[in-house]
Amino acid sequence: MNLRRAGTDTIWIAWMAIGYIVVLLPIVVVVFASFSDSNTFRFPPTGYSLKWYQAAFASSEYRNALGVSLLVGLLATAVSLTAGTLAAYALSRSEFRGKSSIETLLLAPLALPHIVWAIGLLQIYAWLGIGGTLLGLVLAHAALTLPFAVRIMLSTFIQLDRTLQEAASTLGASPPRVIWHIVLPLIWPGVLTSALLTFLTSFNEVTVSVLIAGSRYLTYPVRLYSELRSQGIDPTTVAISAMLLALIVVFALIGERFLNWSRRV
Amino acid sequence: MTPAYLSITGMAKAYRGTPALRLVDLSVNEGEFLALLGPSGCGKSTLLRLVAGLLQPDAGSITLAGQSIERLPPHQRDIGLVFQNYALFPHMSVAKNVRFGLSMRNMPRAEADQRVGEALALVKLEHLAARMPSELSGGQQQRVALARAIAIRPRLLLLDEPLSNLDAVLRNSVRTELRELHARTGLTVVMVTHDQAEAMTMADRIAVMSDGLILQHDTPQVIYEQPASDFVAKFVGTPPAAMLRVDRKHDGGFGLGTSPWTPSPELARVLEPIQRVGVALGLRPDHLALTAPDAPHAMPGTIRTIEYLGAERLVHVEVGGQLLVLRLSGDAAVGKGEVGVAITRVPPIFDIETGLRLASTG
Ligand SMILES: Nc1ncnc2c1ncn2[C@@H]1O[C@H](COP(=O)(O)OP(=O)(O)OP(=O)(O)O)[C@@H](O)[C@H]1O
Ligand SMILES: [Mg+2]
Repeated sequence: MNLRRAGTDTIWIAWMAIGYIVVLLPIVVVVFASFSDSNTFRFPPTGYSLKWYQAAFASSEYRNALGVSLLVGLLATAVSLTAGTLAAYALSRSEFRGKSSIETLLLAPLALPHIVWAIGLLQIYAWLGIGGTLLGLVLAHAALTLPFAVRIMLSTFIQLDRTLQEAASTLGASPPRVIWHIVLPLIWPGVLTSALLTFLTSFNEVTVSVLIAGSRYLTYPVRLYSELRSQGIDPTTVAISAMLLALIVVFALIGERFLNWSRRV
Repeated sequence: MTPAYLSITGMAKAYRGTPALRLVDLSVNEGEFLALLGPSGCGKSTLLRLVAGLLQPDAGSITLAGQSIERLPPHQRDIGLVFQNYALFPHMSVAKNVRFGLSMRNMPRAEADQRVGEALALVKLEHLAARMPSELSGGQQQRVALARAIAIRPRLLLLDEPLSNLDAVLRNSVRTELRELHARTGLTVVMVTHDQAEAMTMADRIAVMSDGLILQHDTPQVIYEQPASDFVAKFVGTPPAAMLRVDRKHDGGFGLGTSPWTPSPELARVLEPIQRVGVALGLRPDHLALTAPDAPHAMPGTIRTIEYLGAERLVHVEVGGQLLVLRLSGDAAVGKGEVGVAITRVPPIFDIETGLRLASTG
């Protein structure tokens, strides 16, 4: 009995270990390679140095690309979060026929291959005349991340007890003060969670960015990708990637520690 | 007559076409403790929310202290409301919760501090001022909600089933505390409950509701002794009144089920003038006594069950197909079997069809 139990436990642990290895090994490779002292990408490195980090900080091309990514990410997050929060509020507060199909539809971009979606978007942008513009790129990213925002904000609003707002109003709080003193403090973990997720999604996006922005607004992952296609792996990008990775891990730890990320999404 | 402190007239409210309140008139005097009593779903919370301004009525008006308030938004009404689930703000400490209404009134700090202290003292929770709501027991949360509503010195205090989430022991002590609090503050209180014992023991007056209507609005004593309808009689009292159908025979005599019956002269005097095929007697233990089966005017019956309650016993006797409940002292000897039941006092008498109490009786 106990033996069998121990046997199944071992299998589970082995299974989990395989999962972790599959997910984490590429990351380990990148981190190690970033400290390499050779002039090409190789793993494992033969010697260690910080020279690719120095090169990364010196390169204006990558700095620009990172700047574009940051700008697009922040703007897209702002748009997606505002629209998503309002949509989620409306959905949580009203009952109408077809509500559940609207909720499903809002998730559609999650299921569609980005490339298909981007081709459609390209047509629309051509009509609107915003293809290849910053506005077009920001809107595309915002639309792409909207489902996350709606999803997270919807569950946030559903968890928000409506009687709290009613209690506040009977105690003398006008509607704006109810929002300021009761609603906002209670939904901010949800807001922060969707902001982080939205930003990271936008920051990682390649397919849509390539098609929409063309060569005018090169985001960091797009630059990386085209570099890769033309000249192979530049160790500079590996160093930048390792830094981004560290940043993302820090974000994730903060999210988990303070906002219970894994239970919210 | 001076108009009532709170007066509700012609109030109606439907949720998407389904009426929750049909037509409600209600008045509450200043300083009074009114219980809104009725079964689940009869519209008690709806009425409370209309008064607080959280719902808009379809028809009707509300005046409070001579001022018409039905157009005021809730935050301008100065009405305290304690929710059934307490609705404490989870991100604020006990003290901040109680202070909330005062902050909304921009009260100076020192004065607000003092008010918060007073309100917490009133519910005996000063020592927990720094706690968060999640660190409190249900009874403590309930008292914080009460303190928060009282701190604003509301013109009216509304309580929506404030005791329903408490265990039996706590409920009894909070009942007493609420009564004392009412006496000390002199607040006008409207409390919703579906527990008739709670309403009977706490309220100055009771409004009995059913299906969106107020059936009777009076003191607990009148509601108990002169219920306006069979519904009220069956809803109020422990145990509730049992309805016994009495038929009028063609020859002018009376019958219980199929067998003829001769009521006592006292009861016959009341029953005689009623020109109905049948009436229902609302019988409580206080109207009944156990006799020999062949005693004059007794109704023949069979003892079904006996509930032992310590100082007394409740005897359930089947008479004419109906179960009546009698009260006996704990040590009186009874067995099972055939007995007689005597009606010792004239009970309230109801119309079989409408359920209304016949005005001439009771
Ligand atoms: N928001 C709503 N939408 C639709 N119907 C509602 C709504 N609120 C209440 N009702 C209905 O209106 C009727 C009265 O409800 P109300 O909450 O006033 O009852 P209650 O007397 O407070 O009951 P309880 O003792 O169970 O709290 C019920 O039939 C209920 O189903
Ligand atoms: Mg209710």
